[in-house]
Amino acid sequence: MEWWSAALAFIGAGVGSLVSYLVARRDIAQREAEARADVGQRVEQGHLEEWGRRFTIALDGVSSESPRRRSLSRVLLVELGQSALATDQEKALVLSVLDAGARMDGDGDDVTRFRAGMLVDEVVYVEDTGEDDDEGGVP
Amino acid sequence: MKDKLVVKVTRDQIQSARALIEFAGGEDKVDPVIVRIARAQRPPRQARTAS
Repeated sequence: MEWWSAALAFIGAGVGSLVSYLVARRDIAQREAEARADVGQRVEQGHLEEWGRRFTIALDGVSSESPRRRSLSRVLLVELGQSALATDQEKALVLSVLDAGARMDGDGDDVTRFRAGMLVDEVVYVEDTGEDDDEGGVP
Repeated sequence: MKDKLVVKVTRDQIQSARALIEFAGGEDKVDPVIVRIARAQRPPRQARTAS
């Protein structure tokens, strides 16, 4: 009967080791999954922060004194606004900024608003090239 | 005779209007006045004679 108890002890030890191994393996897999999720979250957070930094630069650039910087900032603003990282609120902000930029002249006046009671049949928009001509601008 | 009002717009306004159209997804998605600003024409240059 002695060999039975030895065999049972051996089997018991084997089963115990197997259970310990499986538990440890599950624990490690769980930790790895958590670590991967954490890294993914950090990467996403990093992308969001970088997007926000660029978005701020683009917004700042559209009111720059430099025409080149203004142009590049507009391109950047459109690209960032079309990104999947942009929220609806930020997209609405891009629309508002571009809309205001299209309507406001160099003095900050809205060229699409005319004096009340002004009667004209046709409004023609022409590019201001800085050259004087006979036709006037916005009254 | 038709009364025509000529409104001068800057290069920045034209570029903003074009960017807005692109961002909005087409000319039909924005105010028609934005489309007209985006299509603003350069005034015809006066003929210059070389001396």
